[in-house]
Amino acid sequence: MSTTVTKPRTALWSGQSIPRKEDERLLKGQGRFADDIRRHHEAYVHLLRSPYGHARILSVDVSAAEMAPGVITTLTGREVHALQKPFIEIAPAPGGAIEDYCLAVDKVRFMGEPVVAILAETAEMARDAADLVQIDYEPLEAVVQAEDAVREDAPRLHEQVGSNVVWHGVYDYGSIDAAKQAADRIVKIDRLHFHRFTSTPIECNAGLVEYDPGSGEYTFWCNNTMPQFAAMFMGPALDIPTDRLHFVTQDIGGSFGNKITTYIYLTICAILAKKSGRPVRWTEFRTDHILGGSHGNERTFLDIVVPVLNDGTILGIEARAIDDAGAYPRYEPLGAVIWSQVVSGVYQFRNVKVDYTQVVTNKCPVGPNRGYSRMQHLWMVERIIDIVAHELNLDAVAIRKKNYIKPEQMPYETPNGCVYDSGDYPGSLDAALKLIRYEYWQDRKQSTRGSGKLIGIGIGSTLDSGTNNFGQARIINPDLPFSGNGEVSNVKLDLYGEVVVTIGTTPQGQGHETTAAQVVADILGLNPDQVRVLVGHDNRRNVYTGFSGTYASQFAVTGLGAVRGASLKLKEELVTLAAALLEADPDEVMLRGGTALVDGDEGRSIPFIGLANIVFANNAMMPPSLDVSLNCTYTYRPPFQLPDVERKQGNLTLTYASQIHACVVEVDEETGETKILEYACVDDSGALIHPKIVEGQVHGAAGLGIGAALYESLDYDAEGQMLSPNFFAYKAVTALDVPMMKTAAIESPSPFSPNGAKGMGEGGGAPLHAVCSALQDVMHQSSRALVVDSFNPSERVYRLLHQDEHAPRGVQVISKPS
Amino acid sequence: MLLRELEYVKPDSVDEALEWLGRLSDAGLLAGGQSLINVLKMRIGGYQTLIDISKLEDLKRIEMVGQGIRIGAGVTYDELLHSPAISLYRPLLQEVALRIADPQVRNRGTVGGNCCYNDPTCHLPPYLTAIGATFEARGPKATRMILARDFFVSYYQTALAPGEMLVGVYVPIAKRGSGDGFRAMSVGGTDVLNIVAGASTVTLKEDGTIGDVAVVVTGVAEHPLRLDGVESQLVGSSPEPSDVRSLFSALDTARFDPVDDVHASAEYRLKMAPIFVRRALEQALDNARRGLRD
Repeated sequence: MSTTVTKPRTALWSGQSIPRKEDERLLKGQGRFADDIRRHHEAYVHLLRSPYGHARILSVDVSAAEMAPGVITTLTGREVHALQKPFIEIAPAPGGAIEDYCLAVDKVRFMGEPVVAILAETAEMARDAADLVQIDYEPLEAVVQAEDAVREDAPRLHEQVGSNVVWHGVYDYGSIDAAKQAADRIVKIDRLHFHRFTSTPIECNAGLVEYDPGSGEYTFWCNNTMPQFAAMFMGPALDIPTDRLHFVTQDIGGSFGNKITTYIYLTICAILAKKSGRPVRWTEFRTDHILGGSHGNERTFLDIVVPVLNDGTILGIEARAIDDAGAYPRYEPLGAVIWSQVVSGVYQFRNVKVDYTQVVTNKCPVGPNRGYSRMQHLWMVERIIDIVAHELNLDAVAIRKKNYIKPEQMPYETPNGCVYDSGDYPGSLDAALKLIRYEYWQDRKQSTRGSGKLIGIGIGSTLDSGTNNFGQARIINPDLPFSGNGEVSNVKLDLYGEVVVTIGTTPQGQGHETTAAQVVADILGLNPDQVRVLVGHDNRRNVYTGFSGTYASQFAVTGLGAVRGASLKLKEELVTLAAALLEADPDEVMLRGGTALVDGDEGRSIPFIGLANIVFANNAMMPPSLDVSLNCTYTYRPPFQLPDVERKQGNLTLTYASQIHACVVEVDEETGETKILEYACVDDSGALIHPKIVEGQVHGAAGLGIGAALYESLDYDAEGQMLSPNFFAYKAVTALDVPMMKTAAIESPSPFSPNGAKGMGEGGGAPLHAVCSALQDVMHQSSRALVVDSFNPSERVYRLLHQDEHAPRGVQVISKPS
Repeated sequence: MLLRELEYVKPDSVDEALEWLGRLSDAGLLAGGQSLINVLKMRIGGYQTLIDISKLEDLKRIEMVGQGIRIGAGVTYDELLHSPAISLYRPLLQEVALRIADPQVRNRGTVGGNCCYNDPTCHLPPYLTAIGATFEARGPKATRMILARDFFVSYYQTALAPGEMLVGVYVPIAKRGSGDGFRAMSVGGTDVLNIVAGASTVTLKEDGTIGDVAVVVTGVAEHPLRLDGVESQLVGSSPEPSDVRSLFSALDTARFDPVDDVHASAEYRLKMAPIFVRRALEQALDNARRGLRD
């Protein structure tokens, strides 16, 4: 990895790839994951899931199961209907009328929906008893494709809603009509489809849930990654104050957003825990996770219109988007606004009109998934760029450079009021092209033709917008009482001078313990080894906001912003206290190696243990009139305002990390098999706190994206039967499938974040864009077919290669009379 | 995914395993468990009793027997990869085994298990059919030898009779002038699921013409299919690359009846089968010609 630094580094620890603090524990198998927790007298849940995509539940008989050996109790939808209020819905009407319970009540709406829960002494006994449950279903016609779901005569999932539409809105910025007038040509693309896949964290969802009748408190030892969001759903559903919901997370084996919506399952466990009086253990198997966990959003773009000038200048984009939420919206329809953080992608066009509809279908509900909602839109934008380039016979690199926002335009306000903080997209592209040996492969492309193999070069230019302004939720539903964002940290000196850091976040591999320690070490003059960072989220520690968690590329800004603020407060207290004790001016006191000392007179010093002693155990020695606790809490709040809900305008995110990826693929003309020959990632994540952790995230995001582009698809048949419910049918990407990657980092510090860093964990789906772009380049040399799907396994590539030259291509270029 | 409760026995010898197999009406043999355990977990099939033969030393040997190598049914893919006898006398078998899934699977999965499972995505059935392997089946009373072309009967079915178990596979040693080929269409960097596969072996005469050839395709029928028509056209010839191409582009696929599933459509399998089997033959020819030159 090569790093381009645009600002000199001043800190000692921040910016260095020090060994990760959490690795000693994790590499020795000493991590504590949700399934490692044990409670006395615990019992096991098995969830009996729907075998149908859409069916009415005529009857449920659990009597035989309840008599089975080891069974403690069962839970049915009928009981849940009495014990639980429907979960709140984020959507206003019509989607807001959907009633969502933790178990299916009257109907099942997706294959894998939990119908009956069985609690038993062992997991095996619970599973065996499930075979004794009798359920009569009346199968109903399923609706599986989003484009079918919007039809008037489509089967309805939620009758009371009146249609399958969850949310609809029109985003209209600039003037697409004026752009069409001004254009030399109009490029029309019939349909682009972004497919359904997920991130398959290596640890599935799990929880151990205990109810304490004395306090009325439920404790959830779990791997939910946005616990206070879960609490917002679960408190009203269980009709209890949210302070009775005690979440504890520790080590988490990946989430990628997928673990945000586990509140459904945690609610089942909570009801069972109260009903049985037993701690309830729930751990998913992979098939459970794929059938009923959380899928990524599938989105279809229709009737795309792109006004362009002859020189390749893109004036705007118009499209209809139909997003498929699966059977229940849950986190949705937040995705219906989140994409608009990146309305124009990395490009300068100012006229955008998107008619956005979100529907329900008989498929597993979606939830946030790495690159959430933005990568779908950014993929469409990148497809448009390549298609326009090919239709107009323009160079794919040149058209990008012409349309990219330039570094000198930063900070750049987008047509909908978002502000891109910093970045160098053309510079990143140059770096990526150099890494893939662009000139070499351009030559090889020509010489390879006729050999049975075709070479394609692809570019994916994308953004990872981080640190949401939750006020954007009001664009979906003006009644939602959300805005801004924030995270809390507490940094304190413990009784013997140890520095202990608490944060509200739920790290899943992002190295929070290490990076937080780097920040604290720099401020308090310590070595990161001297800083203890507590693992995970625990609301008993009283360090959280409603936004606490780890999601949406924000820790480097919100989490470390909070750690920084709390450390600075503690530093001030330490310096003030030491100055009083050492009879020095606070300006003269410095902190070094766990000691406060007087600059230039270092014999006058007091170690942290001495300062702690005075405050915590020896306070008759406290200097009079000093009010220090050495226990400092700080809430970082990014500077956000409420968006303009009517115009759908506002600054929706604070930072914009960019990913410019480039790749070279080789396609076997006979078979459609695609092999990646070169892959380069140039990421600009602002100031890097820990370059190696960032590079790890870059590799991970690229690997997942490559998997999604070539191997991974969640498929259903017309009846809503899930065709890929395990790792035999769902080909999850592994290290063996990922090519060697070349990475480079450009550091354009964010002027808006406290430390110049940008959130960067999601990676913007860059490989999907880059691989499709390379395949488009291949098709340009052969059948001239359009790459219109984000998923391109060999069979689809084969079909594109062999597409009839006279078949409709799904694209039209209309030249306007001059 | 939890197994139903079942009985488990761990015999100390093949004889004892056969005794259990004869005595119990609903017993299955557990070797590496790489397929069986998954089937049991999904509860789509099952046995009352598992007879664990994974540690039987008699099934773990690889030994030279006359003009062949006898591979014990319990030999794992990883053990195949590390066998000097295989390296020397049937090297392509190692290339085939190396393609199977990942090291974890290869450490447990066995030759016998791969053959007895006989899923259309399995690697060994087409290859062993092509090279003319023989299967040693032991029953309670007698041992019989079954030719590969008879052994693989249909999806998940072999010629083993109730009470019989596969104890070894005889693989003929590669003769001078012979070469093997194996080409599979899979996804990603490992073969978790082969969409179609082709296997071939060619023996050339001193004059370079084909003396003997087997061409086998899998993934398009209930068992590995030998393409007899192609074979008879090849025997006696010394085909140029263009001859091979035209032979396969005109391939009669009437006998092919591929499945249509989430991995590939039947139509695509039908189109890919001739290509992969042709590539297997090309590889076999290359290897054979190289052998003759050396």
